[in-house]
Amino acid sequence: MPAGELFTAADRHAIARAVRNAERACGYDFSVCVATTEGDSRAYAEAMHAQLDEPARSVLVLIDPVARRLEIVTGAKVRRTLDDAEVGLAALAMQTAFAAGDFVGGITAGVQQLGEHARRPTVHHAEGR
Amino acid sequence: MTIDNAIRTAARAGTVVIPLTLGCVAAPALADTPNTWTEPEPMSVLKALLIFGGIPVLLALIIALLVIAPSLIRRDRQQRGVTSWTEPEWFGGPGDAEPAEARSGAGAADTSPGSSPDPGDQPGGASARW
Repeated sequence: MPAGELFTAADRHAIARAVRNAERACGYDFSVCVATTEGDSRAYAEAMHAQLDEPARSVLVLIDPVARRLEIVTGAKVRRTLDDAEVGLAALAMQTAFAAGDFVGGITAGVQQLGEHARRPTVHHAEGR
Repeated sequence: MTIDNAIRTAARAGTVVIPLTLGCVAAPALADTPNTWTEPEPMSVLKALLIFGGIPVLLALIIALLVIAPSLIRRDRQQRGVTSWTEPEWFGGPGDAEPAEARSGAGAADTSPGSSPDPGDQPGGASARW
């Protein structure tokens, strides 16, 4: 399958909407990049993450459909509410969908899951008590 | 054994024995075709086979095809995989971020210049392959 056939216009719209919803849910920046990586995909993803506007507040999801690699990088601030185990769960969900050939479903579900986990739980007790 | 138990046992036995007896004793209902009805032409074996065998088989094949087709298409896409990718495709990439006012949650409250991460904090995350 050559480039350009992986996503339709509706697919792109669905992914963009999932990214927006995740950002609104937790307040962090989400970026999804579908690209071919060169060399060590983890290092490549971390280098891309470092080039984002605010890396500490950003989550990068890098998908290499050719090498079949998925990398999720979370910034230092994001890690306060979204730990690596939760990221691993989202990665597992995405991995399962990708293995079944469902890229759009995997990306949207994974990003949504990351956004929900990154949301800091609301504190209901009153301050100063 | 109390009287209630005896009645209950008799009722149970009755529910089995009575219908069986009636079924065996009853005379079969006999009815002939009314004289006013037109006598249909006898159906050929080939036509009967086509109607009673061909049509159900055809319907079964169509239903099976409708059920199997989506998974066949999916498997084909999966087997083909992605062989090449030229341009990186970004969703929410650099410079594409929403203003913080439109957001809620942990990150929205964390945009002040003074709230920089602790020194030594490294990016985290996870990796996977399929």
